[in-house]
Amino acid sequence: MDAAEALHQNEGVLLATALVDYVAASADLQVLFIKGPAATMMGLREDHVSADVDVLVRPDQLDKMVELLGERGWFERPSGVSVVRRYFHSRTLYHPQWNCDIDVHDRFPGMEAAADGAFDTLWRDRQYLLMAARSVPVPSVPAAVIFQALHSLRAMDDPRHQREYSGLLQRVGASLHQGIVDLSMELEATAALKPLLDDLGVKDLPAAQGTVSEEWRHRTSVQGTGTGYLVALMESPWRAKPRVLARAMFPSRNTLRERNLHLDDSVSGLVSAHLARWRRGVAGLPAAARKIRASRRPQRPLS
Amino acid sequence: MAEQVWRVSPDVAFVQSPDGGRVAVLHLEQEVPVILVGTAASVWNGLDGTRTETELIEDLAREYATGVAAIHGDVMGLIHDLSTNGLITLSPTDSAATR
Repeated sequence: MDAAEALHQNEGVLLATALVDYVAASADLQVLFIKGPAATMMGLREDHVSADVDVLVRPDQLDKMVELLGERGWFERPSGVSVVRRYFHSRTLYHPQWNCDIDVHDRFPGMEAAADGAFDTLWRDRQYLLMAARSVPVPSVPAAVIFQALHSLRAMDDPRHQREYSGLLQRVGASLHQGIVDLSMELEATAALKPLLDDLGVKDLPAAQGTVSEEWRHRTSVQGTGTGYLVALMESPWRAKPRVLARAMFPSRNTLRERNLHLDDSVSGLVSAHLARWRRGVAGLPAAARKIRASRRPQRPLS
Repeated sequence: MAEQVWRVSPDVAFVQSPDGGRVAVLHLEQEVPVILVGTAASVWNGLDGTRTETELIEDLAREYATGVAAIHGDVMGLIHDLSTNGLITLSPTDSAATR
């Protein structure tokens, strides 16, 4: 046996999935493994290696899940104090001896139904897939389509998300359409999924299916810290702007550590981290400004 | 003793490479996986709950074109390590027979 041999990424993700399932089942917690290998096995995306395990946990069991994984050596990634508006929907755990993270979600952006009700719906329709020789719970195929679509639609200026979305459209057969429509209505996700439903040619949705939430609008327009700070700067009152600017220029060590867990704490290391951050920020400013302008244009109502 | 039949323990997850030459194994009560490569992976793949130790060693000797005596010690040593770490267990029929 060789414990020194490096764990491959695909092995890590599948074994960590089995571990989370085992830990959850041992404590009677309900979890569903979303995106990643499950989506690949359902034929909803190309076979590529995931960077982390995405698990949706019953919302009132999130803390317990994180606590139990903590007892197994999985720690929460540091979250810096920031003036940028954030919507928390998951907690990211890492283990020093593993090569993947575990993202523990208690809800999924774009699904506007109450988190516990949405989970009940997804849990009701669950199925099981074999991963790392273990049978683990995953969403139904229509639910998996919805997760994949929302994940892509959240960041469509990323070429990888565009490719994944196009691939998804090609993989969704007509027999799935009704299931996707019914479920997206139940999850109150039709507003965020409007592009998908339009692209699938789904007509005759009830008119009053709501509009996208402020969170969804924020998520789809504000990607990247630079954009986030720019929005925070624009939205804050004049007296608060200097503080936002100071935070943008000189974030805390924990904020820097979000991007680099192994941040060099020496003076030269911190200077390098700040310089790299400023370079990224300046380079991203024009695109950020374009995105913010685009997101503030009036939205078309749902048809 | 050499007629025992082994299988993967119930609380174990594992990922095999497509060619069977590598297996990542995790006992779900332990923190980190172990990796088996080459002949060790072949031994793991042979612990299928049906083959006796003797049959497994004979199969491996054929696969690697070597003599049974040449690999007997290594294979039994690995089986001992795997069982000591809780990664494999005697198959139910074998367990009943040895009681």
